[in-house]
Amino acid sequence: MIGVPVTAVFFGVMLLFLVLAVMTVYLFAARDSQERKMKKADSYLLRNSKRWYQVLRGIETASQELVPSDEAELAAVEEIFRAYLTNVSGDKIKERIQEFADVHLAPFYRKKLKSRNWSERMNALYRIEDFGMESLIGDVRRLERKKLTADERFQLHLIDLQFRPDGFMERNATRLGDLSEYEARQLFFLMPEHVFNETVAMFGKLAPVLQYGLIEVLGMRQDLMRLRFLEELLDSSDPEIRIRVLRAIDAFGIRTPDRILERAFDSPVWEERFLGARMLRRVPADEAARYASRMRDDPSWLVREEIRALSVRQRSPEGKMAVLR
Amino acid sequence: MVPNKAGTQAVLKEPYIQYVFDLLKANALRGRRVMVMVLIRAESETASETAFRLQSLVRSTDVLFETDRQDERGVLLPMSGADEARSFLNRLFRETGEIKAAVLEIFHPDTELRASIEDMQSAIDREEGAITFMAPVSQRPEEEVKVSVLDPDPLFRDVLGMALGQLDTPAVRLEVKTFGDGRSFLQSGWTASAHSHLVVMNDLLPRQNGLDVLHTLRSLPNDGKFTILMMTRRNSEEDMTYAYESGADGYLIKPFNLRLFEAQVKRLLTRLWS
Repeated sequence: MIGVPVTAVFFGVMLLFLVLAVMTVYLFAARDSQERKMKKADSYLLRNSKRWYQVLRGIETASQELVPSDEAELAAVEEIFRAYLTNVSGDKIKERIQEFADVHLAPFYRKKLKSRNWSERMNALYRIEDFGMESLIGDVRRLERKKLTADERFQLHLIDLQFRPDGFMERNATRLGDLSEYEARQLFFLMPEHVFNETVAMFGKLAPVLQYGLIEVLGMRQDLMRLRFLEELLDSSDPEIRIRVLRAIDAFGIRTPDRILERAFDSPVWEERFLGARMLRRVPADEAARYASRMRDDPSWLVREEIRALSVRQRSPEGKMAVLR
Repeated sequence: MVPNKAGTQAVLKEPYIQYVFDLLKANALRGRRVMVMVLIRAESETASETAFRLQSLVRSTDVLFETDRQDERGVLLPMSGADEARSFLNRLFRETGEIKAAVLEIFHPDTELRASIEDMQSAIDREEGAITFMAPVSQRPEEEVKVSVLDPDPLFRDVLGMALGQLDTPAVRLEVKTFGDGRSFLQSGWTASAHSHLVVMNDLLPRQNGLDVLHTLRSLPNDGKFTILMMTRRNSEEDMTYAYESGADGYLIKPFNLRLFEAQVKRLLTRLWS
């Protein structure tokens, strides 16, 4: 058995107490500093929210008093801008926020962009996008050369799209392959119409994750003009693309053309046959019955179940009405 | 309609016209409406000829009366304003020759029949034009309208409060209060009064949802005093239909233009004095 001297245990315990005491003091100090910051922000809001209303509605111009002097007041200004940007549109409010942020808030965010703290950098990137601070574009570009996290990279793409939409896809097509599908969809939704059209035109050159996201977004936008484009994608050798295309066409909410249904039912992939069976709910009863009889003995249980559910629906009076409509 | 034995509109005399005037004025004021009195003087024809022409033009709800002058007839047009009176006189002028008229909008309880007729008679004597639109006896009585803003975002509540506070609403005094959730609004006692009440409310609220609050307000016995403007972030046709079916008077989709909000509120407040 190893003998530990009593003094060593004593010093160990004392050290632990010391660490605990230091941490407690630190926590209290941090909390106190946070509370002081919040009080300062509240007092700024109380003092200036009425004046901000006048400024943002164009009734008066922003005075020096509104310029935040420290982080607490900056947080208050951010809160005010957030409340306006998320709830109010038009009337040049966004432009006034942008103008003020470019002149008076940019120094704060420039400093934050250089921070070693990831959350500070991320917050700065979010605010640059929210407030449309064009004056920080140079600083953001310098950031691109550094080693960044995936979240930071995505935020940089959003900022690039916001400030330089022209040629966005040519510049970034190769780099966007690292995005998650959710991020890709978000990017497509935020694209101005002409950039979105360019992206659709270069579909073949896009990374698979972008192709999948783009098909989903086309389905969500329910733009019937894209039906022909989606139909052409059914020739793809990638079954995932074909499945997503069928899902997008189904999301259009139209009576699916027979040629698309035929292709879906002839597919060796059960998911495609399943989506075809689901589309039958918008096909007139007699035609749906013809397809249903063909698919009744499908090897996939899910396809057979979908066909069975369709037959049940058609037998009910509401179902008949729905199909006739 | 006050028909005579021939089935046409009777021409009322004193003191009956005083009684009818008071009754119509009380009705108009209670319903926050306007009534118009028109005095017509036709010097080139007899009083009975003027009365005959008027009888063919007035609606069944209008009231004809005579004044102390033989060449004068008066008409009370309930539920009408100056525009309706102008149309009425245009129809009359197409058919008659030399006539003069004075028009007075009645929307204040202090407007008296006798004094008004005297004012209108001196205006007809004084003015050169065929039609004289009289200045109202006094300004429209100011009405207190309660306004409640319900939104979970305190800063946005203040923004709406300030927008409402700076709104130019003639004859209406707005008493604005803001609430962060539905329950505190319903439990505040702020709804328990006979005042007209404009509620500007987000559909999603903590503790008690906006649509719940809408249902509660519409199930109150005096729900007619509430004008409810809903706000939402979800641009869903289904939600909007549901809100309208549940009794909302207007719908705003966030983010919305503050000028659109102000215009909607003004429009809704104008309806109080329709």
